[in-house]
Amino acid sequence: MKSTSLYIALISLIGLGSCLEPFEPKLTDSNREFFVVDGIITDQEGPYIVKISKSKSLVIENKPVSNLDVKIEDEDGNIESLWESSPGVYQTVSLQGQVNKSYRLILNNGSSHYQSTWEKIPPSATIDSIYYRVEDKATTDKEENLTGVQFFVDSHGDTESTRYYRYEWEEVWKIGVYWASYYDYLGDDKIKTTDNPRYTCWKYGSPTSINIATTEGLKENVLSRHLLGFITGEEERFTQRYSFLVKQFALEEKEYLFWKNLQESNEEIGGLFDRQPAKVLSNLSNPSDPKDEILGYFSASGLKEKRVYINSGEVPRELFRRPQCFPLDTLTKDSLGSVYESAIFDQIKNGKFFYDLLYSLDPQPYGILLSKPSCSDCTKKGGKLDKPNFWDE
Amino acid sequence: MVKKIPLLLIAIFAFLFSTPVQSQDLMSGTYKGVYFMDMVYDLESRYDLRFFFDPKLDSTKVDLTFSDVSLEKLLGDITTLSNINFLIKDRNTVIATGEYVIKNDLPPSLFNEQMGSEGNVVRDNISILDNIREVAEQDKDNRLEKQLVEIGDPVKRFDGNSAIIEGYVTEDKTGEPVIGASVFKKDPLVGVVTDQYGYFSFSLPKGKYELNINSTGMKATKRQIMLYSDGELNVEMKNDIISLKEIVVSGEKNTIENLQTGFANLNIKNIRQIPSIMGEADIMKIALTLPGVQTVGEGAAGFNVRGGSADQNLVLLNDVPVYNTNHLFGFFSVFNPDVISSANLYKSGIGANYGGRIASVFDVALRDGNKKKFTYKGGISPVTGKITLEGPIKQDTSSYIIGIRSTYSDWMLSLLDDPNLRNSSGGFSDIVGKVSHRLDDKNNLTLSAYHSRDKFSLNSDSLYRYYNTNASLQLRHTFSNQLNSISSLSFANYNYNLSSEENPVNAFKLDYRINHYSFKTEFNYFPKEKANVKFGISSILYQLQPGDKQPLGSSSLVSPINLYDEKGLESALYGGYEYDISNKLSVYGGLRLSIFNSFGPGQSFTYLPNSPKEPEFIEDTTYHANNELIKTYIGPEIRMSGRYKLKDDLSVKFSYDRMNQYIHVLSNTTSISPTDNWRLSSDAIKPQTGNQYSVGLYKTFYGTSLELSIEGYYKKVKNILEYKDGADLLLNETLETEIISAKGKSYGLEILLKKNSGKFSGWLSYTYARSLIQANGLYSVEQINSGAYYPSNYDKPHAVVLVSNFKINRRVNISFNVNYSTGRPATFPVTKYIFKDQPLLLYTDRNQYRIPHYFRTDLAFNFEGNHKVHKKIHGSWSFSIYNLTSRSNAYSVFFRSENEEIKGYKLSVFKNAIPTVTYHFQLQ
Repeated sequence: MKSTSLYIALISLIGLGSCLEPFEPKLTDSNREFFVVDGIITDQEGPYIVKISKSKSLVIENKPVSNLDVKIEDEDGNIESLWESSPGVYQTVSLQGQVNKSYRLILNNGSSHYQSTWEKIPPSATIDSIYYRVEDKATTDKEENLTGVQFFVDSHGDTESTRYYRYEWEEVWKIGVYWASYYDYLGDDKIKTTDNPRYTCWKYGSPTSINIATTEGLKENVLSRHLLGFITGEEERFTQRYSFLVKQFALEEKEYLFWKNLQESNEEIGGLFDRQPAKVLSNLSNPSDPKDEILGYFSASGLKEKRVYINSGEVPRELFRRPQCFPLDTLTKDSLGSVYESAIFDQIKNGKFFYDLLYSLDPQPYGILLSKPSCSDCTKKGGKLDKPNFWDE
Repeated sequence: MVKKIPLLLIAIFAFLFSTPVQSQDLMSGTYKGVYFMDMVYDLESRYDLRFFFDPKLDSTKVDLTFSDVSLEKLLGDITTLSNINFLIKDRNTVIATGEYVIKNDLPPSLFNEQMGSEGNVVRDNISILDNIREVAEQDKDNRLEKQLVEIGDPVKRFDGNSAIIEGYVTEDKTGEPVIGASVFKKDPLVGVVTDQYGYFSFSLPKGKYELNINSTGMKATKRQIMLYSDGELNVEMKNDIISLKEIVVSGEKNTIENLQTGFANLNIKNIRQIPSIMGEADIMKIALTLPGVQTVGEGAAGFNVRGGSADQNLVLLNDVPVYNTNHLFGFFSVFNPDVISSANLYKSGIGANYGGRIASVFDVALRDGNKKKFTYKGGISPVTGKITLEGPIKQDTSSYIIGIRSTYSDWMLSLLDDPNLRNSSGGFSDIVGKVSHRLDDKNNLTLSAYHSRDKFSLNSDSLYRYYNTNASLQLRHTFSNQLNSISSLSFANYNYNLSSEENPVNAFKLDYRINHYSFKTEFNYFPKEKANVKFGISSILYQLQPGDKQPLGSSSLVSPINLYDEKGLESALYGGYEYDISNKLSVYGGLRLSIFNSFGPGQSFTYLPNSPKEPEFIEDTTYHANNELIKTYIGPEIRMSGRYKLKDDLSVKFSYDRMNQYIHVLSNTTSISPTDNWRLSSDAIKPQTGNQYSVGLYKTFYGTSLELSIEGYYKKVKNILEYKDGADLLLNETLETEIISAKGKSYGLEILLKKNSGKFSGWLSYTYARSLIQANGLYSVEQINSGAYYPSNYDKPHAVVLVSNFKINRRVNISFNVNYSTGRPATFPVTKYIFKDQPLLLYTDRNQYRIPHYFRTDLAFNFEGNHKVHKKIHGSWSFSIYNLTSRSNAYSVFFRSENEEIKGYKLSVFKNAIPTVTYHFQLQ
């Protein structure tokens, strides 16, 4: 005699699914102020900038701190004072950072004295290439993937040199408009023909997130296929020509750990197996009061840069799609009659752009064409008219 | 034509008292392809005969011709042709019994089963129609319970005043031992609980008694005994099918009597009461409904007992530790519910026979295979498929059980929203088996083994695999009524590997491995009435490869890293004495002397004087040769408990335990992550030591149907492991530079009100528990929260659990469970600042906030089919809803800096109610 036992379990599929939702717990503000130091010296030409601010609270942004005595000392005892070029921004005059030389930052606000640990500039590895691949990224919406350009870097350095790197990148891209306006509106219902229709601009972006890499644990100091930014086609990035400048900072191990902790506590958080967020302090301290804690970092890095360009047409169509600008609005004398002119200026005051006059067989204009600012003036899309110095086309 | 019911009564009559009678008439007839029923009609009409038969024989076809044959010959022919057996009674009454042969003799077991020390019980091997048997068995039970059993030799009745009675309690159908059954006499109450072999032994004054035998999920039974001298009494208990789902957890068999504080017995048979997430019953999830047992989050690996970390629980499967108890990130435990019988959880009052972990012992026992017949079970849930086979190797002597389980799909991951989880994959399989063999009356041999394989890849990048292997061979030997021993040889292995091949230049494989070899022998001695001595010796050899990283593929540039193996020997010599000083007062005292030796190869670092343990302060490195003794730790561990009975239904208990732990999971994540590893104590990592004081008040009401227990505890722990900010524990050669040795203290109050029987059963518990840690080293890097006490990750002060079961009628019951706890501690920022144009947060003190509280209700309806014991198909439906209120319970709350702003998030593992419909059936 045998016996069999079976069971079948059926589950409604809608039941499952983890979920991530915005949540703002009530936090007690410490209201403790901290100096935040953002300073760097590299082996490239100066001036080197040290920004000093003070954190206020959980809601208020840092406030720049002026009138500090800021100095950089090298290992030979040479000290250069920095001058304050704008509030909280201090810069060097003639200092030139040298590879394998140590520097430290010294601050004095009259009552307290702060100094960083000695930081040595390690030589930066050679950037072999910056390249990209068009990729689809999954999002929290299962139906929707995000298409974008994933940049990579390959570098190599001396086996004995530092094996820690940090990357920043700067984006510049050319944007244009279809219907650049031939007229400038001067206010007071006055219009003037423009000398310079704003067809082409350059837009700038420097996304802020922490990107670090290490070749520690490899037989050679070779960094391969390291992931840099993932750039989507937002803000018409790939409609004309796009430039991606990579800055590679070579770091000492200590600074790398600083960035790693900062990254884990602020960006790579929210998984199933999270660590406690770390208390990440700078390399500056107050020798007479160890409890006087300072945020930020005074960094000494070997710097290398490399730029790549992407022309539209080198990426898939969905990445260089431009916003539509049709149709233009037309205002005609026939339809408006006596209110014709005031109607035009009303429209312009409300943000419309005067694009051009509309002619028929009559030599007199028979009406005007109006367009949206984003279709007629590239500066209205956040662009700058001046062509950057490096721009190469 | 009389069917079924009269048949049943007559059959019993016949079964018990009839003797065969020869029929005189000779008969003739021709039946070609007619129904059995029609033939019977015809025969009844022509001869003076009355047939009784089961209606299902109606449509059996017969095909035969006979002339001038006796009734016996005719029936014999029908039996040969159609396999229908008959019993003739009173010359003219024929009972058709279908495929069963009814013996004319009475089954010997009916009267002989309890004949004292005669040895093996003889089982009835006759089978008759199910219904007959059912009634007969009830009758048999009544007889067994009323009949006086003489134990021992009447001649010796005047030698001494007391005698020892021993024996086994087994389940009648499968022959499996009944673990944890209470065998006791009342007024005054004397009794014991059966061990994992179903064995009991205790001393009683000679004389006549009624012995009661109770066990969860079994029909209570009793025996009338006349005790002359030392002797044996074996008892078979019946599964109580109706009351199966009444109780899930039974604490002490008798809370008032038992010495044990902080104990619970979990029974897998009753598991359906706690709705499971994916139709996969899990004994570890049931443990979480007990007071004092917590988890850091839904689906998190492991559990926390009385403020201890997950690695402070000794999780045993058939007496061998399981080093990784999780499948699929912790959503399932490694215990296949079809193969385990029960689990005991000891939170305090831990006997000297257990050691090695400081928070608790979770002892899971495998079932014995069915000793009577081969059976199999199977099941398919949305995640797993499984099959369990069991049966006798030799009838009543040896049996096997084997359970295999495997995931067949990881589609459920594809339902998740999080893109990282959605692109992950995972699966596991495990096989577990046990062979039990009764060598003779004195010796029992058990071989059990477990193997599991897990693999998963997170976000389709790195591939993780891990394997658990356990095996043990146990011999139980009975020297005499007063002395028995259990000896075992065990082996356990846990290894994992992690590989990443995405980028050929960085492709690597990382291996971790721990081997555990152990030997244990334990004696159980009953020197006199109401006294028990348990003593033994055990030794565990650990061999551990903490990390071996190798390049993968020819283009990989990864440099190999191979950490030194770790080797350690953990030995213990222990003894415990339990004595009932009076009816009111019982005490237990135990001592466990544990010794840990750490052996080479290895390296030790000395640090510059007056500096913290940081890599830059290493002054000197000492290398140790293979098998060189590096460090020895000796720790006497005292265990004590006492019970004083204030009234028959009211007692107070006290216990003190000191425990040492020499092997630790290094984990600085909130919930144990897949790469967290066990490491041995060495000169760098000191053993953890825990001291726990526990007191309890126990009261029963209305007999024992309502139990109230109130337990309080205070625990101090030394040398627990905390970690510096951002500590990297993987492949780290100087681990001690990442570790902060901390102190912990936990205290709490656990109130449990439990109703064991009746239409409404279940329990309600409230727990107040705190778990605090202090890391106050000499140097600021060795301090956390400036050296002040702070809440541990699993400090959840308030917890309320309701587990309830309403029996609407014999077929329908409803379970309703509520689970509330304070949110676990979390670390939130103290200020925001902008650095390199990016907003960032500063965290200072750990665990100063809490995530939102946890609240979940579950509802389950269970519909039993016809509850006749011997029905062909037992079917039952259950419909359960996990998280009825669809509350998105927070798993974590965190802040992320993204797109130039700080955003706060709450992560929940489940956001909806999860309904599950289960149909469960068993064919016989």
